[in-house]
Amino acid sequence: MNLKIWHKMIIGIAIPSFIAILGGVLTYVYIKDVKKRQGFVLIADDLKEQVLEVRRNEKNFVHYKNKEHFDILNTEIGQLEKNLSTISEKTINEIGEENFSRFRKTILEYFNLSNALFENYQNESISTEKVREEGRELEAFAVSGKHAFELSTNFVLHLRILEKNYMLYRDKKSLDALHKGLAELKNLIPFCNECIPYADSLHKLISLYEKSGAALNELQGAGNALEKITGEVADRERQKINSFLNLTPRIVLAVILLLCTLGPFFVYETASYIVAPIKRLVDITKKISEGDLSQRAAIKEHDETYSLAMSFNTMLDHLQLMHQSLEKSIELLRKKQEQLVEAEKLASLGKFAVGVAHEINNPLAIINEKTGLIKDVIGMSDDFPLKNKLLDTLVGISDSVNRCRVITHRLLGFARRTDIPVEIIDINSLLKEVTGFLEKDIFYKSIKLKFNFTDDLPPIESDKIQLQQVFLNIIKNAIDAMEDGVIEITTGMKSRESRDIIMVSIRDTGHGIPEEIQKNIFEPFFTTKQKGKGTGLGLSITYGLVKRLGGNISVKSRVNEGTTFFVEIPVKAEAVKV
Amino acid sequence: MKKKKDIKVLLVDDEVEFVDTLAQRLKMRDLLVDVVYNGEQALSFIRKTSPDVIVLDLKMPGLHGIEVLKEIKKSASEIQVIILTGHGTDKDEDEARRLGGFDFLRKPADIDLLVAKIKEAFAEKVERAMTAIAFAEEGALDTARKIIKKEE
Ligand SMILES: Nc1ncnc2c1ncn2[C@@H]1O[C@H](COP(=O)(O)OP(=O)(O)O)[C@@H](O)[C@H]1O
Ligand SMILES: [Mg+2]
Repeated sequence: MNLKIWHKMIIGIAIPSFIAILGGVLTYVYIKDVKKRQGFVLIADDLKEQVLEVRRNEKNFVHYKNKEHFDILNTEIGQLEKNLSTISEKTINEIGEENFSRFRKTILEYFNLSNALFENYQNESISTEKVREEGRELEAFAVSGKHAFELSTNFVLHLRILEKNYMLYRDKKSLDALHKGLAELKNLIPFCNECIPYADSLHKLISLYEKSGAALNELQGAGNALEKITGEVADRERQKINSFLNLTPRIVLAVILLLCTLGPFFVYETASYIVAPIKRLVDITKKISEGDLSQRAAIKEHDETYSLAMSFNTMLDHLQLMHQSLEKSIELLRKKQEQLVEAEKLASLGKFAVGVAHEINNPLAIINEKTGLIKDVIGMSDDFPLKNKLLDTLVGISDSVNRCRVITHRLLGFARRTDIPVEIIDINSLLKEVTGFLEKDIFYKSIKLKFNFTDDLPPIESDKIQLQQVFLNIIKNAIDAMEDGVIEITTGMKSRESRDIIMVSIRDTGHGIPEEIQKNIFEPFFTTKQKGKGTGLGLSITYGLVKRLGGNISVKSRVNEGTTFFVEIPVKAEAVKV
Repeated sequence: MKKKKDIKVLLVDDEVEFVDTLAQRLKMRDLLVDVVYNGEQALSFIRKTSPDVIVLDLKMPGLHGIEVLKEIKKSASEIQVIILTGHGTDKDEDEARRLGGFDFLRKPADIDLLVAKIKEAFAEKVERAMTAIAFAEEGALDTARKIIKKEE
């Protein structure tokens, strides 16, 4: 996520706050709803009360069956309708439009039914009057006796009682009794025309009564329906209130739970978002302190640690560069030190050699003189039996002393002149000179000497005697390595680009140097030559001198094919103190 | 030119065995040889008598050969000095030659070479003395002194 720290903080704080607010709002909405529902319940209760009022008046009306009570009932219904119309459309929609339309329809039905019932009641009273009138006429007729004997006064009276009972009770029992009476009367009817109007009006009344009963039933049904609807609405609203009330604590609880769990979670997340890049930096610094300078802070552009990471990385770049140049310097220093150590080694080797040479020279001188003295004395004396043998022995001693002298004087040569007296030397003529010293050996061994010189070489500023020594040793070895063959001396520049270093190679076709000893040949006292022939100092001195002149020496050789020595000499000698 | 026997040589060396033997051998070769064993003795010796050639060692207890050479060249510059040493470095050689040493040899040295050098030194000394005398006889004492002191 590429977010700025303050964004992250806002998220961390906002989400728990949002949950809390949501919980609060939800609770508020629910409680408001509950209040509204309570209003609905009140409305429903009001309506129900009015319906009950209407029903009370309905009972009065049914009881008295007169206009007065019918009017009261009507006004009550009108009141109900009026109240109903004051209820706002919105409330109606919320409570349930369907309820209200049913309610309205039922009220209308109820109203119509009550009207019908009232009409019936009016017909009933007319009909009742008629029955009474006919009854009285029938009574009068029975009393007149102009009829068959069955129509006795008693019978008519009994019938009238039945009629009155029925009018009073209007129940099945009294109706049955009346029907029975009427049936008896019917039996008389073929004989009694006067009976017919009574029976007819009675029948009409009965049917009116039945009609009223049915209408009343319907009216009561409608009334019940009205009661039921309002009851239902009130109940439903109450139920809703209850469920709301049940829900509210749950919501509050849920919000608290959410806050308790999500709150710390988001705060933690935010904290780790903020801390993460810093942690990364810390990790990187750890790795760097362990020496891995190639580490870089991951750069996320929208991070506030972006610029920190950038400058951190720039710092690291600098550090790495510095580190690299430091390493280079150290490498250079190490090389120089190696050179110095080498020079130091050479120097101490030189000092040691000189010390040894000096110490040996004095006893050697004593041996030399004592032997010389004996030789002198014996030489001067007359012949005696072992004279020649003694003299031979003395020559042997002198030769050994000479061998020692060669060694010590060579060692002293190694330690010669520490500061280079600068002479201008032409390398080609120097090499000619050196081979001149060895002319005799070359001639005796019938060795062919070839010069392969480059003409326009720059003159060398160096120590001539030392340079002579260098090539003398190498060429001497070449001569020693063969009986006949070729020695080829080549001169040139080391590289085409620069004219700083001259390269001299001395190739021979001698017996060569076995690879395993090639590394030893520059060591002092290393020799493969017979005792008395080699000192093992030639190449070590050459090596020391070349190094002292700031040059280099190397060898390439194959057994039975030959050997080539390569000597590099700087045109301008760098004095290395040895 | 004087005979060999007339060449007076002083050997200066602390190595007794060496210098005594060398003295004998040189005597056998018709040289007049004296021996001293250190620099101080050498200097007191030349105060009494004047040898023709001094064969001088460098590394000795007491006065170093170079110091002795300096002293000789100061007080008796006509004496030829040949350095014969086992300890000579190139530096010493240069120094010795600069201070007027006749030659510089390293031990062990060949007896014939040494004798030859002694003779050479003596011959040079004689030649210089003759020239000096010639100048002196003509009154050019300064020049004569210069020649003796090798200051041309
Ligand atoms: N040109 C060469 N051909 C064959 N071997 C050689 C050559 N140069 C040197 N060597 C070997 O290197 C050794 C060391 O040489 P050096 O140091 O001159 O001592 P020395 O010549 O006294 O033996 C020789 O003994 C020889 O074995
Ligand atoms: Mg050699």
